[in-house]
Amino acid sequence: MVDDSTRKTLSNIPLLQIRAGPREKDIWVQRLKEEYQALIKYVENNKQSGSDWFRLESNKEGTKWFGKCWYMHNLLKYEFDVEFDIPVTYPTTAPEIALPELDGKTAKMYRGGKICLTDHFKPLWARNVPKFGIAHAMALGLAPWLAVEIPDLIEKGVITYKDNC
Amino acid sequence: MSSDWDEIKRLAADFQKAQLTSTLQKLSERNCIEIVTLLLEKQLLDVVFTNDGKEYITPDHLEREIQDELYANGGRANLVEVSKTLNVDLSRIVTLAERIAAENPHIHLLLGQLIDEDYITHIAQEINEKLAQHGEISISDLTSQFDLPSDFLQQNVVEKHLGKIIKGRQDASNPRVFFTQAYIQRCKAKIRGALAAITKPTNVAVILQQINVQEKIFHSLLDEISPAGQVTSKQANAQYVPHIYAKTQADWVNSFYKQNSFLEYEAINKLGISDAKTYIRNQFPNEQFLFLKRVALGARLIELTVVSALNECSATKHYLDLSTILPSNLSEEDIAEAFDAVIAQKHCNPSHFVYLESIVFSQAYLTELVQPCHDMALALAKSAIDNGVYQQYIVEKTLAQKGNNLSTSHDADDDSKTDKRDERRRKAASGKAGGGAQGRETKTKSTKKHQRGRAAAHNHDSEDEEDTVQQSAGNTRKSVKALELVKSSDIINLIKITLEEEGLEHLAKPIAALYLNQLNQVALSKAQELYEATPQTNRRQTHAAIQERVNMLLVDIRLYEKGLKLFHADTQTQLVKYLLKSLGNEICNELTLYVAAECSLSVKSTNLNVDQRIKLIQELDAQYRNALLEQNKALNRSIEDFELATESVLKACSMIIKKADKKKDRALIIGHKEKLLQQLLECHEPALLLHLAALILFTTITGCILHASGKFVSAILQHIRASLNEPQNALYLVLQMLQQATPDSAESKSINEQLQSLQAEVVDLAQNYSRASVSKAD
Repeated sequence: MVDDSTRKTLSNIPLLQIRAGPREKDIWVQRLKEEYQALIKYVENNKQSGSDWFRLESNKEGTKWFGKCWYMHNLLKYEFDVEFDIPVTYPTTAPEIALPELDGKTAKMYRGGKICLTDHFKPLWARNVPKFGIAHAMALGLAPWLAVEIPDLIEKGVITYKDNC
Repeated sequence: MSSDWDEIKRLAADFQKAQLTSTLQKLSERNCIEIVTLLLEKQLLDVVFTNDGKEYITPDHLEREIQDELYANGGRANLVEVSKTLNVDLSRIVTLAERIAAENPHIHLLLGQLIDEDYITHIAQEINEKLAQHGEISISDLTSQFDLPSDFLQQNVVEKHLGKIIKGRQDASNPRVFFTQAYIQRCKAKIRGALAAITKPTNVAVILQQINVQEKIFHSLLDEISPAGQVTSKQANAQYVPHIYAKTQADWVNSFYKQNSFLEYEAINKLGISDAKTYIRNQFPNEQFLFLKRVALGARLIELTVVSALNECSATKHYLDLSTILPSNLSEEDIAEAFDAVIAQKHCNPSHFVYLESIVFSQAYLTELVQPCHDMALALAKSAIDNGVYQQYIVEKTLAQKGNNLSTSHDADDDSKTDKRDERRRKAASGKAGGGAQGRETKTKSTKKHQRGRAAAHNHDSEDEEDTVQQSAGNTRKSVKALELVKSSDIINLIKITLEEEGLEHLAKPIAALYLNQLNQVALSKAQELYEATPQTNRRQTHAAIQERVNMLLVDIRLYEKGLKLFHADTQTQLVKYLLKSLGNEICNELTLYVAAECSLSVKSTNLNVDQRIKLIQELDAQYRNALLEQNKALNRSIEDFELATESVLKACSMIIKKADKKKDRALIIGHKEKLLQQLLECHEPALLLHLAALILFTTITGCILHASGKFVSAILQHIRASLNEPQNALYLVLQMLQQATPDSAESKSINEQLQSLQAEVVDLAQNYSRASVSKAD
């Protein structure tokens, strides 16, 4: 299962209720509202705990999201671009988060930079449909991936520290 | 819907804002750690980490904390504990502690502990309390109690505060010990009291245990007290001997001696004096003592009482009971000892006195006492001889001696002075044992058997006796038990009566024992005398004597044989028979008895008939048996056979047969005639007269002697008739006829008268005729 810190973080993110995909015009709005609320909450938490690690924004529809994420390793900040689309069958299916910069640099990545999530993620998401949203996906999916992969890649020397980032 | 989208827009804006607001400038833990680490790297900050890594502390603060800790622990803090409490590494603490101690003179660092002045003061007070309580304290105790090094204690703690906080004094002899004055005074008083109360030697350790004072103090204070007594040594088993004690001892001994004039060693030992003799000598240097095993007697006493009594005793020929004179404590042994000593000292003749169970007898008294016993001894000796007991004993003794000689000769001990008999015996024995003997022991055994013959009753006993004696004594001489003619009980019975009057019957036994041997000897010598005086020469004949006699008899037989050859054949045979029966029998008897004695068979009577003889012979050893049997048989045959047989017997007995000596024969014949004449003159009976006369005449006429009984008289007379004159012959005939004709008693008187008258004539005839015929025969 997820480790405790993730769980704790997760528990502080409000859960969503409305089951709506992006094609369902009416209730998608409701869904988005909820999404934003969850995200705001999540970010506030991060800020308070000093572990703020991403910036996200979306298009008008809320179907494409993009931004940056970073990871602190040995007191050094490694930043990456991040993007993802909301799939049609959302929320049943989780969004596929991608880090295009790291495409081809790691085995744990599909073509196009889509991160390969843990075996736990998909069943966990499936169990908790539609309660999990984007915030959860970030916390449950990307964060752990970064925690595992980035140090590894740094050590292998695939990723180097860029001062400006 | 649009409101929703507006809402969405608004939310999105909010989101962006939320994201863009800068993070709270809260310095999280991580940040802090980062900062401190940075500072540490730049060495702008010196902090000490705690053991678990969760906290920092600056050194100054740490120092202060250490001092607080010290204070909190009452002035004494173990650094290890401090490090645990403060959660800081020990090495940092140690360094800091050293710094503290260096800076602060009041704080000492020792043994990994910080100690400050407060603590020292505190323990000084405690020490003072303890000292007041016990009166005495040593640094070693304190060390163990406070767990501090002794030097530190001694210098910084005790000596610094001595006199101020710690009220006491240091012991001069031992700087590590402290006392209070009061304590010393107390001890002194205790010791004084204890020593004053003691009246006999006591072990110092016991004293100390009782009064609970230490040995060192005791010895040091002893001189100050100057008690009325002495301590024997300064070591572990010292004893305290009060002067009183020695005095009382001496007093007791003195008074006892003055009263009793003797001293028992045991009593002195009980007083506690170990060496009684030297003590006595020291106490009474002017007195003379007789030192016995158990007791010392004053010489004065001895002289006054014992010696005078002894003198009196010998003068009055009486006895003296020493136990009444000497002190009653003395046991019998003591009295015996004293007596011996006195006798030795005073050079009295010890033979004057006999000492028995604390009674001294003068010799005269005892001699008087046992006088009747002498007589009794002699009487017993006589009876022993009569009974034959003594003879038996002699026999046994001689046999034992022979046996001894044999065994010693077998032992190759050539200094055995054996006489002929023993040599012969040895030859016989070795000759027999030479074949198939297996060893000395067997030889000895076999010779023994040869000696004994078959086991007769007493033989067996004596054999056993000698066996046991030999076994017990190994190869040493055998000895026969001395014959006890006089028994102890006999003596006791005699003397008891006399002694009972004096009340001394309990001494009868020892006195009897004393004289037993003597009396026995007396009896034995008497018996010996008697034995030698008795005419029982048959037994006591030595080998030579028997030989002599047998030879004589043989000669006689020969002579008689010559005589009887002059007769007719049938008379001859009769005469032969008669001769053999008489003399031959005698010879056989002699020899048989002799052999029997040799074989230590006891024979009851000396005259045996043929059957008795034969029976006896059967019991003899083989070497003699045959010869003797032959001899016996020959008695029924002729003289020659008999002579031969006798010769063989004599050979067996290793006796020599004397050759016939003509000159001696003549002398013998004459001697024989003379004997007959004498008998003739002395006898009065007519028949015997005739007999003798006939024999004499025969001898005179024929020149040979004859051995014949009365029934041969007529034959003899017939024989000599030819040589006799007419009147003489006729006379004889008449006499003879008269003899023959007087079976009736009626006529006997008248005939007797006639015979009487004729007797003188016959005698005359025999004598005269002999003279005449002698000249004629020549």
